[in-house]
Amino acid sequence: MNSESPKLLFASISDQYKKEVLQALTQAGFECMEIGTSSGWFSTGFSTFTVIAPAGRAAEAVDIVENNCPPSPDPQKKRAVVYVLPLDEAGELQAESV
Amino acid sequence: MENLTSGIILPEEIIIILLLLASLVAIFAERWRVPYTVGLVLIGLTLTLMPTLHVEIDPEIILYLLVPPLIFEAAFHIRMEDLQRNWTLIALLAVPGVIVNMLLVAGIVSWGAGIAFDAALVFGALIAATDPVAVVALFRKLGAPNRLQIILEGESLFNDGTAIVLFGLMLTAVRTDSFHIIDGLAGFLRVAGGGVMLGVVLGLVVSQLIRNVDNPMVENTLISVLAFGAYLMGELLHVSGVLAVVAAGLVNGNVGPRGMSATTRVVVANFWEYAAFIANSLVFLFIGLTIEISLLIENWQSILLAIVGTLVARAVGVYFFSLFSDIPWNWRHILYWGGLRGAIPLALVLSLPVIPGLPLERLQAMAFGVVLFTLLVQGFSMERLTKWLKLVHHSERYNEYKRRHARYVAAHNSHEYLQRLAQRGGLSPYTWSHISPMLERQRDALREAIAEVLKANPTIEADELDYARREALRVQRNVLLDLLHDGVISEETYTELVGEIDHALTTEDSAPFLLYGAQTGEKIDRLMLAIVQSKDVEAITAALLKLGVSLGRLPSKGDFLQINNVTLLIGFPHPMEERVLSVLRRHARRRAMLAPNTTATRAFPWRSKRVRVGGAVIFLLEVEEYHEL
Repeated sequence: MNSESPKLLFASISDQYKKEVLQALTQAGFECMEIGTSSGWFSTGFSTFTVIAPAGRAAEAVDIVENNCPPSPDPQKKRAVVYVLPLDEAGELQAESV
Repeated sequence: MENLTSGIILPEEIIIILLLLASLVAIFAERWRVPYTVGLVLIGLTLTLMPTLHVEIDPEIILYLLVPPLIFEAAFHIRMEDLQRNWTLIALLAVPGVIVNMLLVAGIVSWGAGIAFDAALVFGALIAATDPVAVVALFRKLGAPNRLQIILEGESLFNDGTAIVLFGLMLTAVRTDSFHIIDGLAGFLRVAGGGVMLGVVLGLVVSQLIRNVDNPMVENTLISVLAFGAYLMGELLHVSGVLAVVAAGLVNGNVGPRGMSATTRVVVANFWEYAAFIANSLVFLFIGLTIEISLLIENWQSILLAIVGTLVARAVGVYFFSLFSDIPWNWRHILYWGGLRGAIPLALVLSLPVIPGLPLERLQAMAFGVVLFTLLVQGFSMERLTKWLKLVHHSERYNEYKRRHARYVAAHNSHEYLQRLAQRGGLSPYTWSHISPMLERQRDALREAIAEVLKANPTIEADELDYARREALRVQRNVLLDLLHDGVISEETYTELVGEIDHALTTEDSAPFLLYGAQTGEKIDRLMLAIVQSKDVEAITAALLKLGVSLGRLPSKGDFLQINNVTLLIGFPHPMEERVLSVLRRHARRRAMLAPNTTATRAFPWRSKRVRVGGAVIFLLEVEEYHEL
C-alpha cells in the first residue's frame, strides 16, 4: 500500500454529525466537497463528501471522522462509512480570467 | 320517463326505516370497529329472517340510481398519476382477469350446480366485481403500502366496469338465447370503448363548465348531473353507462378540482361520500329484504359451489396476471385474499329481470352467499394475513414509541388544560405555581423519552418525517389552488408549482434510507459506484443487503421523464464482485416508460410517448481502507 500518495476519501456521514465532522475536517485543512445527500426535506438522512487527503494524511482525516461521530449501536445501520482510495494526483483547476 | 319512475314509489315508511337502519349500522360498526360493509351484510342477513316484503323495485332503478354513486365516488378520488404508474397490472386484472373470472366461475357453477351455462355466465360476470372498501379501511389502519392500496382500488374500479359490461352482454345472450364469441367480443369493445369515450367527453365538458362557476351548490349539482347523466346517456346510446361513469369520474376528479374553490371541493367530497354511503346501505338492505333465509338454506350447495368458484377463479386471475408485474409475492397473496365482493354484485343480481332460463332466486342466494363469505371470512382474516405476511411490521420498538408518544400527548394536553383553568380562576395561583413545574418536568421527561426511541430507531423517525413531508406538501398544494382561484397566481405559475409539488410527492427520495454497514468478515477492498433508476433501488437494495455489502447512496436528479437516478455506493470484498454485478443485472432492468406528465397526457394517457429507460452505469474502484461507524 502506497501511503505516500495522496488519497481520495468518500465519506458518508449521518446528518446528525455532519456539521461537526465537516467543521473539524476543514479546520484541519482538508478539502471537502458534498457530492450528494439523501437528507430529503427535513435533513435527516446522510450526506456524502469527497475529502482530499494529501500524502500521508489519510489516517488523520479518518481519525477526525471517528472522533466526531460516535459509533452506531446497530451493526447494520451505520452513522458513517469512509472509503479511502489511492489518488495519482490531487489538484484543482484554476478558473482562467477572461 | 313514465315507467322509469313508476318503480321508485316505495312506501315512504320503508325508505325511512331503511335509512334509520343504515345509520344504526354505521354507528355500531364504528363502535365495534368493524368495516361498515361487514355491518351491512350482517344486517342484510338478519333481514332475510323476515318474511319477504314485496317491495316492488324496478330492476332498472337499482342500476340507474344506486350504481352511479358507488362508481363515481370511487373514480372521483383516484389520482390519474397513481393509476398510470400501475396501469399494466390494473388493466390486466380488470379486463382479461374479469373475463377469466367469469368463465371459470360459470364453468364451476354450471358443472356443479347444474345451472345452464348462459345463466352461469351472467352469474360469473356479476360476481367478478370486487369491493375494496373493507380492505382499504384495514390498510389505512395498519399503514400498508400505498401502492398496494392503489392497485386494489384501481382494479376494483375498472373491474366493476368490465363486469357490468359483460353482465349486460351475457344477459342479452340469455334473453335472445344466442351468443357468438366474435359478436360478443366486438360488442364488448364497442360498448366498453364507447362508454369510456363518452365519459371522457362528458367529464371534460363538465370540468370546463364548473371552471366558470363559483358556487358550491351549482358545481356539485353539475357533477351530480354528470354522474347520473353519464350513466343514462351511455345506456341511451347503447354503450356502457358504467364505464362512462368511471371515465367521467376519473376525468372530473383529476381535471375538475382545479376549477373549484376549497369550499366546493369539501362540499363535493362530502356529498359523494354520503351518496355512496346511502347507495351502499340501500343495496345491502334491499337484498336482505328480497331474500329469505329459507332460500339460503335450500341453496346451500349452490352457494358453496359459488364460493369455491370465486375463490378458484380469483386465484387463477391474480396469480397468473401478476406474473406480468414486479409486485412482491406477499402482495399477490393480499391481492388474492383481499378480493372481497360488495354492493355491485348485489345490485346487479337485484336488477335481474324475470326471464325464462334464469333461476333468479337461486342466483340471488348465491350472490348473497359469496358476498357474505368474502366480507366475513376473508374480511375478518385479512388483518391476520397482513400481519402474517409481514406486510406491515411493527416492531416492539415501534409500539414502545407509540406508547411514549401517547403519554406525552396526554401529559401535554393536561398541562395546557390546567393552565387555562388557572388563568380563568379555576385554580388558585398558589396551587398552580406549585404544580406547574411538576407537570412541566413530567412533560419534558416524556418528550426526552420519545427523542430517545426515535434516535435509536431511524426507521420510525424516517417514516414519521416522510408522513410530515407529505402532509406539508399536500397543504401547499391546496394553498396554491386557492391562490390560483383568488387570481393571485396565473394558471401557468400554478401548473408549474403544482408540478413541482406533485413531483416531490410522488418521488421517494426522502423515504427512509439508511447507511448499511458491511455484514461480511472479509476486508472491504472494492467500491462500486452504480447509477441506477430510483424505481429499481428498492429491489437492488434488498438483494444487495442479502449479500452483506456496505451500502450508501447519492440521489441524482433526472429531468426527462421526471425520474430520479440514484448512485449507489457499494463496498464489498473483491471475491464478491461477480455476485454484486449479477444482482444489478437482474434488478436494474430496462423498461418502456411513458413520457412526462403534462396536462394533456394526464387527461389522455394514450397520448404519452414510450421511451426506453433503465439499466445501470457502473464504476468499480479499488479501495485501500474501509471504515464504518
